[in-house]
Amino acid sequence: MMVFSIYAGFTILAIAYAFNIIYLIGDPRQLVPLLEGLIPGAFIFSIAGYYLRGNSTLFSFSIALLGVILAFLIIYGLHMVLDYAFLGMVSFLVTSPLALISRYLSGRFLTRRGRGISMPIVVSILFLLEVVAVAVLYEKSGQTNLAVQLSVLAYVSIALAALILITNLIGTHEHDIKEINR
Amino acid sequence: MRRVIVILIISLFMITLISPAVSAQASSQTKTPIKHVIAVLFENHTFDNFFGIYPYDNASWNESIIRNMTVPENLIGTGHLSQLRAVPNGVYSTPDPVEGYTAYHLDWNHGKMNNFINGSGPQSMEYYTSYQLGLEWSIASEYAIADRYFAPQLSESAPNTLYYIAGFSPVINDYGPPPSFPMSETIFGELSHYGISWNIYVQNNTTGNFDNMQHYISNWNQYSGHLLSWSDLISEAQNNSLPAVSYVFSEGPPGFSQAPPSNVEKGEIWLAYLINQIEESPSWNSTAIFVTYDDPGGFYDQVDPPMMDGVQLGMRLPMILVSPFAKEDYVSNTVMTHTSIIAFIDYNWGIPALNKFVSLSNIPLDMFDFSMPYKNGYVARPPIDLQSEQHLPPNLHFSIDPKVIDYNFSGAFPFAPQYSYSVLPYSREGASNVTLSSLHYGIFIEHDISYTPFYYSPAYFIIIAVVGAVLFWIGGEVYERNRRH
Repeated sequence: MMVFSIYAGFTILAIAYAFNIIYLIGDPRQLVPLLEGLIPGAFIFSIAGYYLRGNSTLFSFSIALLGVILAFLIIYGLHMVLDYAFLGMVSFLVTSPLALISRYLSGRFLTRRGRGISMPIVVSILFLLEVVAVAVLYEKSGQTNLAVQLSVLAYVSIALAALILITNLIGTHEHDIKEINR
Repeated sequence: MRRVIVILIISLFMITLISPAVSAQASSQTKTPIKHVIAVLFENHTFDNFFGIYPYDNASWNESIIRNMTVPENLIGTGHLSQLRAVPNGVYSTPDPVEGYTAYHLDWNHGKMNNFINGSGPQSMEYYTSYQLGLEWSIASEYAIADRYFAPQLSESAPNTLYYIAGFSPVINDYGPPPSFPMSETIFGELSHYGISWNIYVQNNTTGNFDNMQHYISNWNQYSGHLLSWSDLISEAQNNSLPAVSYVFSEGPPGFSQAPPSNVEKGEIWLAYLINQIEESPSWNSTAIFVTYDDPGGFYDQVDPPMMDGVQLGMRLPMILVSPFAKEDYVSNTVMTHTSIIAFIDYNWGIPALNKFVSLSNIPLDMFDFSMPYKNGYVARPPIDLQSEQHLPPNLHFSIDPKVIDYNFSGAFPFAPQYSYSVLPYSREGASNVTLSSLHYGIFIEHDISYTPFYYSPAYFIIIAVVGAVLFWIGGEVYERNRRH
């Protein structure tokens, strides 16, 4: 779950970076309306993804895409001047990819191990902790080098994704050897 | 022996002949008697926040001087004053308003200037008086102040400070780098190109930091030797070895920058000390000190900022000119911004405008009087001894105990005028519309270019996110296959 939380955090921060609003996390006062959107967004979209695990991936993908597109339209429709209400709304919407991530995670890795509804909740909490950690580091560094922080998250996410793939491929390899020996 | 004496006499004669020639050559390099520009940058205050009721003094001991002072466009009689709170006597700091592109645009409200409470918050609706700023007000009244000097961007520190050094900004708020740009696009790059000396002064030059702006300059390391300390500036002034252009950043952890919530008096004393050191130095007679603030800090200002070359300017900032050639008690109504200081530098040294925006910026020439000696044969105004006028600290690295009022300038305003207002040969209010473009100075950088490496671009991060998703998906498929087996 930690792996997917890091990846979720990176993906959502990358979207915020592309939308030119990520720097708002550096202001402790703007962090409040941001969290007012991020916290419910994280839980709602994660839990929604969990309950959609039996449905087509296209459905949760559409939710994620729609959320991101709506956020984009609000940001640029208002010329990037977002009052706290819109800021909360946008930060809520940019968490929509969690629906897709949670749906995939539920369907593939975790629910079969019996972790159930706790999975999306834990993923959401870990995701929010990651965002707060990035915000604190950004503020401590004098609001500079956000791209460097994002790069670190990007490389960690890719490394973890590759690690999972390699681990499973090794598992496949061992399984094949057992099959041959049999 | 006689031959030696003859040679010595001839040598002395030659030196006497050469010296004025060298001096004349040096003076011919500038368009004005100014040989040293010192630009001092503070942080985060609007004109109305610091000078909103200037020069009306609620602690005055000499009202007759104040009644004769020039009044800038201030809050008195506007109806706005009743919506604001005066910072009480004995209080030297206020809470920090919300800052940033979003907050300032909400404050601005498409020019209505009536949404500060929703944008920067209720803490934006305060203004200081001479109780706190008696010394700074006195400096302004002795010299010249601008009341139409605007932040170049309706945003916070980074974009405004980048305009201050480069006349453009590749960012709209406090983020980055990336993007970055080469030194050649800054005023420092232009000065280096033309062989004009310059330095940047900060509290501690070993940290290699000036408001984090060096991070935006891709080849800053090649120029890091130009980063010196405040103490170096004082030494150079005393040794008469100041460079042509000095940029002084007041930023520092002990809070000299006046940015809220720091003690504004601390920055005020720091400024007075700095000015006093320059005035007492041999550099004074050829120096102009521009004092301004990087951005509005979210504080209220009543004036709707105009647009310039398609750029929406930000709220008004205080800008004071201290110089032996500054007009006394002068209020400039010239529309200016940070690039006006760059324009003055380019004008003075006869070099092209740094870029198009600089070329269109008004030059603060009306704040100077280069015309005639007007009192007792003085071409330049003699220094004002601030140290004897007020008790100032022994050096620039002082601290203030917040529990004890070490310095009280509530009675400092106003200083007695250096010259009686009635003998001044100029109007004490005015404006000018001289730009480098109107003087056909040409442009140094036709197109400013900033650069974001691909590995820091949004496209790159989105690609990484997609690649991650694909890897997770394949991993999941393999996991599923293994599980089924």
